[in-house]
Amino acid sequence: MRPFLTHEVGSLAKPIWRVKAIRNEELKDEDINEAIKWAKILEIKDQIEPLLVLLKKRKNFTIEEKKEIISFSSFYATKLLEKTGIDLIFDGEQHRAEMYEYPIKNIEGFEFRGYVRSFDYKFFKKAACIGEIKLKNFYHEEEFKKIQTFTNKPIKIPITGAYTLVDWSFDEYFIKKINYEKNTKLKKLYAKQNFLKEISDKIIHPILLNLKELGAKFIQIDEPASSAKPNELNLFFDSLTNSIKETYKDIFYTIHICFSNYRLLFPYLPRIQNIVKELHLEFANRDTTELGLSDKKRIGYELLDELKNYNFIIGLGVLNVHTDFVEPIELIKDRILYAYEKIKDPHKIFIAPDCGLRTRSWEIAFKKLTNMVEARNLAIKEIGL
Amino acid sequence: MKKILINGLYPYDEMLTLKLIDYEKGRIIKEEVEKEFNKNFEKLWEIQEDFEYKSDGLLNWQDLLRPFSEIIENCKVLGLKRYFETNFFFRILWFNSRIDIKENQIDEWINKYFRTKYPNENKLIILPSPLLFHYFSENIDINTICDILLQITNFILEKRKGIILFEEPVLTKINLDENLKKILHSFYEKLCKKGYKIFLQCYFGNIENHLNFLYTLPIDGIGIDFINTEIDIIKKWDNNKILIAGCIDCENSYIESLEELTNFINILKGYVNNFYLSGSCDFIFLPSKIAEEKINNLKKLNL
Repeated sequence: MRPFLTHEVGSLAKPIWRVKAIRNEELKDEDINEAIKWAKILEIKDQIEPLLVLLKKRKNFTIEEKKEIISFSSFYATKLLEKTGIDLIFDGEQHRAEMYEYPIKNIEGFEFRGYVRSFDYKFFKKAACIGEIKLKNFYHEEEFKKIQTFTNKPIKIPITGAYTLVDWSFDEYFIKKINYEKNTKLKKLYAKQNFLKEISDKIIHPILLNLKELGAKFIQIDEPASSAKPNELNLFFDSLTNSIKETYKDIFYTIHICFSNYRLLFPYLPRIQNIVKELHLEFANRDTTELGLSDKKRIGYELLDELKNYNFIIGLGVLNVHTDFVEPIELIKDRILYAYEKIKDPHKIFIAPDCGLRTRSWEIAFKKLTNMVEARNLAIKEIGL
Repeated sequence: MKKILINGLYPYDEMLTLKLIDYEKGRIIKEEVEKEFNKNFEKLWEIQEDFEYKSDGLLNWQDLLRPFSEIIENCKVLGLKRYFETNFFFRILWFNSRIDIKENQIDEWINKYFRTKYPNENKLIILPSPLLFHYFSENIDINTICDILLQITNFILEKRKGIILFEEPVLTKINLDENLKKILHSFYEKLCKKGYKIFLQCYFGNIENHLNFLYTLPIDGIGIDFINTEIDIIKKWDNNKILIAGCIDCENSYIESLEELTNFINILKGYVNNFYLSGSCDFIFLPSKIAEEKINNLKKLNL
C-alpha cells in the first residue's frame, strides 16, 4: 500500500434532488440544475441523461424510479470521491438513510420510537428492541455490487458495528428476560450482554461473511459509541471479535471511533491487534488551526505518542467534519508531518477526515477532501518518499 | 399543585425536529423553525399546568453550556465532548484570560434563554453546576467559574421568580478533595445568603458516597438518580433537605407502570417528609412522545 494512503470515512450529504424525490416533494428548476452543475464538475454529463429525464417528472416518483434516483446519487457521490483523488472509494452512504436507521430497518425485532438529539441540532431516529432479532436481508449487498460498477478503484465499505447498534437502541425485550436480578444497573448490564451477543452473531457476522463472499477487501466497522461506557469496554471488544471471527484472514479491517475518550480503550487494544489493521480516530476536532509542528500547535494529536506503541495503522483524522472551515493544504500537511514525526513509518499512517462528511455541503466536502489529497502529496514530496 | 419537576434538557416533538433538520440544510427559513419552537414551548407549559415550578425545558439551549458563550466576553466555542456516558455531545467552551459578562446584553439574554409565560410564575431555573461548567470548559479555573455563575444567577433572579436547579452529574463521577469541597460550599453559601432556593440535581450515577457532604451544603434540595442509586439510601435521609427523586428512567423507552411508581412513592413516604418527583437525568434522551407519556404517568399519582 502507498505511503499515507487516503480514504473517506463514510457518509456524504444527500443531493437535494434525491432528498426531495424520496420525500415526495416537488422538484424545482434549481434542484435539477444542481444535478447538471455537479455532472459538469464531475465530468459525467454524458452519463446522466436518464436521470435528467426522470427528474423532469418533478413529483410522484414510483418505487422503481426512486431506486433509480438513489442509484444515481450513489454514482455521483462515488465520482465525487474519485475526483478528489482519494485512494479508497465509497459512495458516501447514498443508499442509506443514516448509519443507525438503515441497518435497524433491515433487522426484525425493532420498532422506531422517535427522534433524539445527538449534538447541536443533529438528531437520529431511535428504535427499541421489542422482540426476537433476525436479519431481514443482507443490507449491504446491493450497494456494494452497485458501487463496484461505478469505479475501478478499491472500495472500502463502512458498516455500523454491533456495540453502537445496541448502545443507540432502547431495550424493551432482553431486559424483561433478566427477572432474577433486582439491582437495576446490573439488570441492564446483563440484558445488554445478551442483546450484544445476538446482534454480533445473528446480524453483523453474517453481514461480514456476505461481504467477504462478494469480494470486499476493505471493511470499516463504525463504533462511535464504543467507549461511551467505561464499565462496558469488555463487552464492546467481545462484540467486535465475535462479529469478525475468522473473516480477518481475508479482509482488511478498519475500526472507526470518534468523539470519545480514547485512553479508555488503550488497555484493551492488544485484544484486536491481530484482527484489525487500521485504527481510525478523530483528531482534527481537538486540534488548533494554526500552522506548525510544535506539540502546542498540534495539541489534537497528542495521543500519537501512546498509539505508536500498538501495532495498528493509524487512521489520522485531519479534517474537522463539523465546521465549514476548509482546512488549508499547509495545515493538513503539518498535521501529517507531525504524525510522521511520531510514528516514523508513512505506511503506518492513513489520511482521512475525522468522521463522515454528511453534515457538510458537497462544495465544502469536495474542497476539504481535495485539499487533503494535495496535502498528502506535498507531505510525501517534503519527506522525499 | 403537583410536586413534579422537569429537570434538564427536554426533547423536541417530531415536527420541530424535522424543521430543524431542514433549516440546518438551508431548506427553510428561520421563522418556520421559531414557530415550531413556540408550539413546543406552549405544549411543555401545558404539560406542567398544575406543577409548582415550571421548566422551559431549555428548548433553545444546544447543550447546558452553550448560551454562556453568548454572554461572556472572550469565550470561544470549540469541538465536541461526550456528555458523560451518553450519546449526546456538548461543545467545549474556551476562555481567554480576561473574562467579563456582557452586562449590556444580559436582559435580552435572560429573555432568550430563561423563557417564561408569565413573569410572576414560579419557574424552575436550570443552570449548570460549577463542576459541570468546569468539565466542559478550557482555560478557566473553578473559582472563576463560581464567580461567573454567581453574577449570572443574581442577574437572572432579578428578572425571574422560582428555584434554581443546578445540574450536577459530575459528583457521581469524581472524588472531592477538601479544597474543592470548600470552594463549592462557599459558592452555595453566597447564593443561600441572597435568599435563593437551591436544588442540586445529581445524576448519571450513584451519589451515595457524597451524600454526607451534600447534607452539609447550604442548599434546599438534593436530586438523586434512582435508576443508578439503590432506594435504601433514603433510610438515612436528612429531612432538613428536600428530595428530588429521579424515578423516571430517562435513558430507556420502557414506561414505568403506575403500580411501580406507587410502590416507589410509598417507600419514600416512609422516610422522606418533603419530596418532588423528576427524571433520572435530562429527558432529552427520550423521544418527546415517550417523555410525555412518562410525565403523564407521574401526574396520575397521588402525590
